[in-house]
Amino acid sequence: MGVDLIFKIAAIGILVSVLNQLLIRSGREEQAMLTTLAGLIVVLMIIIKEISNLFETVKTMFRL
Amino acid sequence: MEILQVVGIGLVAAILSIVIKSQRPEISIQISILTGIIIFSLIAVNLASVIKLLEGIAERVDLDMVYVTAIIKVIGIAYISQFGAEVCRDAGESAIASKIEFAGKVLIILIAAPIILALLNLMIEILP
Amino acid sequence: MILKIIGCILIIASSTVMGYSAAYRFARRPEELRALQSALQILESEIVFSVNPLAEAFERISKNTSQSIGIIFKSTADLLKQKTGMTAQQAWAISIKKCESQMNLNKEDIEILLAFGSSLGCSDKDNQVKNIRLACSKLAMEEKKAEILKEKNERLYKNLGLLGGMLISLLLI
Repeated sequence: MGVDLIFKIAAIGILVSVLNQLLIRSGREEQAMLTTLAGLIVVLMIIIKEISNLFETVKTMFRL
Repeated sequence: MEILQVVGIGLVAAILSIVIKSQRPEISIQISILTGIIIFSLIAVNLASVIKLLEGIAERVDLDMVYVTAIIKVIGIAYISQFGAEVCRDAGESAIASKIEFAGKVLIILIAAPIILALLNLMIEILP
Repeated sequence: MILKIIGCILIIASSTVMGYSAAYRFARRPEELRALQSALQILESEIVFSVNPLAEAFERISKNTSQSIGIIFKSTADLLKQKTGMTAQQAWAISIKKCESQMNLNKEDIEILLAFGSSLGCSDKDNQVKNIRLACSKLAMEEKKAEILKEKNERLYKNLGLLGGMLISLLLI
């Protein structure tokens, strides 16, 4: 938990977009699409953990 | 100084999000969500002490604890629904955002209902 | 921290090497196909003009072609010279099986070579020449395809290795 998570996700985003460009340039649209999807899912896995963390904090703090 | 930390994180995340937005808008949205979460968790400790302070004041003036917890719950629901709605609006889904806000309002009224009823009862008692 | 950095460097380096070796395969295949064609042409002139026995012709070809292709001809010549009663086709098939892992050819190329071997040394001069020409034209077709594949994949695999390594190390941090 911290700023490095932001950097990590930004780096994943940049890498995935570069990979996407590379695959499209060499005529592999399907793989490019799958790469995008995989990147999205990986980032989503990270994010969902943090979101549930946030909800837990809010729940205990505001006694919801 | 926590404010410097928060502003620093916010600026860095904003720049990163803009860099990625043109290529991968979905990941830039996720960066903004994560930034919100990180800033909240940074400030959560202080928020807890603020809430304690409010409770302390309420105890001093002999307020019913039910009302104070209701107010705190309302603040919590408002924060969460605002968070979700802002993210959706950032992503360009203002329709979903307004639905989230609507749900938040309904739940807030539900929580505030006992207070409103108590107020009405009080008014009926006072009025002849 | 230092341990993490070292691990990341190792992962990135190894995946980059993997990418380069995959790209190398694609780069090598057209070259080997070309070498095979020139070897077959030498064989043709050996048959038509010098009229040497197959073992001797193969020996000479193996000296004149590049390392990885020459090995097939060398081992076929060796097998034929042992005089165990093996036909040229059998010797050719055995030595292709043996050298398959050292070459960067794919299944279709091997298929063409085996088909070429099936009528090797069992007909007259004209038919042999026809057979060699047929195999040569098939190999030329494969070479054209391999060239296109190389254009498409070589740079891709080089970059893919590096980027994949970066992605893996990023996910593991």
